[in-house]
Amino acid sequence: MRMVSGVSFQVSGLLIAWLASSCVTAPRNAETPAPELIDKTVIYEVLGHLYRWHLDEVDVRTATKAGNEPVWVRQRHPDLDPGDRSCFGEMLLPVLGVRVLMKKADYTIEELNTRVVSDRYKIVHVSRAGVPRTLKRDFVPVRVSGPDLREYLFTRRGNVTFPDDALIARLREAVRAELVLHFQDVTEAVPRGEQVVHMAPLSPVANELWVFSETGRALIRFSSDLDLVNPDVWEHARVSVALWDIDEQVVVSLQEAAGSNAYLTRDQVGRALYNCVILGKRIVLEPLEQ
Amino acid sequence: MDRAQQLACKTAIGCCCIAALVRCVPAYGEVVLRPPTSTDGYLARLLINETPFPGERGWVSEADTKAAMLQILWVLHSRIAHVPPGYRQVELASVTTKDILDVITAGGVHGQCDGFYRKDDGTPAVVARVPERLGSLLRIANQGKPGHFARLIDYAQGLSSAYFRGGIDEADRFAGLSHVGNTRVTGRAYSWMQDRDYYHPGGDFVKIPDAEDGSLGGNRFSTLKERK
Repeated sequence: MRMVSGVSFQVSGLLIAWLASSCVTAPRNAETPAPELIDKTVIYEVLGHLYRWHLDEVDVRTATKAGNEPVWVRQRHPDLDPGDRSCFGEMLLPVLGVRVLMKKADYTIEELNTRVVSDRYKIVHVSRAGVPRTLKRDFVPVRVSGPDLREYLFTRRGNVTFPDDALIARLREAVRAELVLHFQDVTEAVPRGEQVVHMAPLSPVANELWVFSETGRALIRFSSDLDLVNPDVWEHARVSVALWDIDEQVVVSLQEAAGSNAYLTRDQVGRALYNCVILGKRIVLEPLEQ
Repeated sequence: MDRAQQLACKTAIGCCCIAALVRCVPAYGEVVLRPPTSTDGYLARLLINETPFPGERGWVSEADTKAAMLQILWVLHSRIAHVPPGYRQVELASVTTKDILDVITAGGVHGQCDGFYRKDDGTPAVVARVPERLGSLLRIANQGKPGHFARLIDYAQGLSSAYFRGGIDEADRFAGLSHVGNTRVTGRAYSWMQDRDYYHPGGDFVKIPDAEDGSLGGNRFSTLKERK
């Protein structure tokens, strides 16, 4: 694995200061979540993912001022289809207003005779929302050991993991195909020659992969309910693709495009570019005109 | 049994076998969408484009995706028919119109509904990725016995066609919403966005929280602050 100075020790220290050691204490009527949701390693990995992809300077300042606050966790039980044994959970960082929905998939796509099953909970989405106090009645607070978390974050601050050669080969085709589609719709000429893309590292807790096309000037996100390393994802086209033209679809604030679902904020793009270009892997694709 | 009787017997047995085979292999109707050039075909494509199918990010259940499709339709309709007091339609929809296709295509290719726009000659169009995914969904839907894919595509087309015939039969689950936290809101949803990390949806939009089922089909719906 390539070591890159990414997460600063100082910020790691602030996160640790915010999460002190204790134990899981369930409020009287709260359901105890699945052990996998309150497992220390899982929580650390989720926090690591949030740090790389979602938290910013304001969050760190807010967390520092708040002092030691636990992560709140609960099991969720949405109505599912018959035969679907998927499990859902939620993590809440009330001080930051950050909510993380997680899913451990376990169902069959009958039409494809394909089993969608995860061996662990993965992040479905991260959102920002105010946290009503009543929510804490349903959540279980989880405190983690400060020294353990500090060691975890520090020793892994630059660790990156990339797909294996087989998956990279599929991704090369998929990225190229998406760029070909994209340039059918824009007035700009198809960039000639080799195409340079930057692939972000994989996350252990999210079925998504971001790619920045330097020559195409586009951000592409591949995501799925299945693990992206599963060949069925690609064989049956069960991968969701979102593409953003970074010259046309970036605003500082969604205030500039209220009501539209077409834009990313500059903060979001900045974090994606950091992961793709600084931490990521540079890949050269064949020309699009071929 | 003479030769003729034997032949008749074999023929009868053969016919019974064929009949049994036909009964065991039912014919399923093909799942189709109305043409993209039709108003209801275009609307159906939007509903499908904005919601997850099995195996895709955000998939929860068939009911969840159907609920999301219905609420997206309500957002579009509310931008025409339920502009709240104190607001102008153009603030919600970037356009002034009675035509739902204008609401969908407002703002161009990266407008209110990403990927859905009007060409220079006014023809509603979609970016290439939309039919690419739709083709894959239809192929899966038409494999074997109808399942989630077929029912969801049929549902989207049914909702869309019914809308142009006479409106929306199903209720808007957000119609009665009056508060989000301490903020008085108009009720009804007026925008949707992929449920991801952003501080604020912009304008006077207010994210509808999970406690009010504000997240459906991987989308976060938003209502509006009440204006006096």
